[in-house]
Amino acid sequence: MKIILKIEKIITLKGISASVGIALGPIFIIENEKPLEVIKQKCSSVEVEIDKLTSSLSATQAKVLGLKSAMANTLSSEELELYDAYLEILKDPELKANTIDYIKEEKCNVDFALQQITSVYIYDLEALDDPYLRARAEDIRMLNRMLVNSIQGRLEPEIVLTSPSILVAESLSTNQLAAINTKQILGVVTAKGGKTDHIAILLKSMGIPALVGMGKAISTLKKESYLIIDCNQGMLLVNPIQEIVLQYELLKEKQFLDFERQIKFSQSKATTLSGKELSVCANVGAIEDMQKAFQFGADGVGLFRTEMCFLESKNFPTEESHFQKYTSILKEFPKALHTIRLLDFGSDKPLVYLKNKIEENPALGSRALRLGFEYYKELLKPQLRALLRLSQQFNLQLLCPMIADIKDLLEIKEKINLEFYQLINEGFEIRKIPSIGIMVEIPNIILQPQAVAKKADFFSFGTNDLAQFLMAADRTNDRVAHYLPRAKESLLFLIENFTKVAHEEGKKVSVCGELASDEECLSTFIRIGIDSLSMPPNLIPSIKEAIRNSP
Amino acid sequence: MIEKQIVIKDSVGFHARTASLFAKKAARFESDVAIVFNGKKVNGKSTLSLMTLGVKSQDEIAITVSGKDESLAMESLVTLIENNFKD
Repeated sequence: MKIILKIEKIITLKGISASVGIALGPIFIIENEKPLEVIKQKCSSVEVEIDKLTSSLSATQAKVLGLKSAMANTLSSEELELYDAYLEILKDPELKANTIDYIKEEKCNVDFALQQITSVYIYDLEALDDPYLRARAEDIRMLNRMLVNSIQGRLEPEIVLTSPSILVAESLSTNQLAAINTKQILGVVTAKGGKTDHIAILLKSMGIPALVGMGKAISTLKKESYLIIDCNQGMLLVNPIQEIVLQYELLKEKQFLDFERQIKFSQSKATTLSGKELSVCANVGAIEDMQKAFQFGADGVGLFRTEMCFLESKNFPTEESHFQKYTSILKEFPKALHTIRLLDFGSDKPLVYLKNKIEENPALGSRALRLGFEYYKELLKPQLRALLRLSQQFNLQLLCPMIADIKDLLEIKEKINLEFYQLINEGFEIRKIPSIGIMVEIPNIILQPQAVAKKADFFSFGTNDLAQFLMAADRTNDRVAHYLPRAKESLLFLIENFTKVAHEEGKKVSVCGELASDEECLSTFIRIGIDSLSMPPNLIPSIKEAIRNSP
Repeated sequence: MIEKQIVIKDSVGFHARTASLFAKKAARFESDVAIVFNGKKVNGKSTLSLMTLGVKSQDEIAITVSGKDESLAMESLVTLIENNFKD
């Protein structure tokens, strides 16, 4: 008897890999929030409407309290105070009194009255010239939405995952992610977003396979679909045939077993078969990364990103907030040598407290130390002071991003020197200024290695930015991003050339961009004697294994 | 009725957090509390009204308190601002 397999149509969709690994499972579609529908109606009883107002205010307060306790372990105490502010707004005597007056005057429904009253506050807030206060209008909108939903008896879309699934959404916020039981998330697929979004970085560090920037294609996905996320190829498979599912299950199993084996050997240093040693360090941007760096056997931290201190703050971060934030992360791996990269963001990351001008070309604009010099007292100084103080307790070295020439390097060295002596005068005990290195990412700095090799203490290649500057292709622009991998040969040529000179001066060179974890480049790195490679912690075990198997 | 001028030292001004802390404290007293800023007078017990004033860091506001417990209320509110909204 002939068996006819029912072959469903397989669809493969391209996306951007924002994480690693393979995920297989049923789809779970997260619906977008629907717009509110509030229509003015005559009410039969003013009292009934006022009762509805009172009960919706207390129901929403209870909800906010619930959100606050749900976030208690994720947010800092300062960030949690925002929920207290929401509670106070819900208790605002004027909000209630004005809404009641409106109901009485217009004999209308409470949701309409409330919407009218809150819109006045929203209007006033949006008219302010302070961007931070202006942004609070969003908070009032959110509270209004919660109140109206409560009055209308509409349930807010709550994301409840009862079985392990692959989430599909237009976009996913970190708040939404925090509200979901992450154990049930097999993978994430979003229409919007890029590799460097906060959510993408979070998913990668949690080891959740994710594809972002899928575009309109995800609207074709149906409720009962079965999906495979393949981050190795940046591909989503929809309703694959059984054969393909089996292949992927085997691949996933193999990757899991490989990883288990690699972790076992990862705690010791990696030496090639011919006896060359190469440090494999971790790129760290949050406390979870540091825990993984330790767990996965990093030989140190080759890139400690400090952006979280700036991007998560509602005000200019103070010296104390830098100090505490870094301490909380550094103490997860206290004995390691930590390479701390100074302030490195630009106008592509709008900050509520910084009236940063919109730039047409943020990658080439006032970013990183350029921004730090521009707002020295507010941005860079507190960070430098906090790091100098921490250098007494931890083994730190400072990595300077976006150094275009010797003048930039001298400027930052002078600033660090100044803050060092200022702290000494204030009575702080700091033995010496930490080593100061350059993030090699602006082509100008590599063209004459002799000039810089003497002046900095160490060098680290940021291959992602260097590639975008070499190819004149914006790495956040999907339409030209395919140029970046094509810079590989040039990058290796430049790294080799530069390393030769740096080594003559007795300076160490590391690579911390995407290229560092590219196994195809490993033999070149070993040949030219790169001192260390730095990468996301979960890639360390496999790279260490590859080094051990290299000649 | 008593009145006092004071400078807001918080690094942002009257935003959600500081406005709510002020309103919360003001609501503990019998007396009426009002804030005058930029020619606009609002109820000091209303977080929303305080936020919409647009008071920024280093701006000077006037607090007026009138009622039975006005001097204690004024003292508490001024202390709250002077301690930069830390209770």
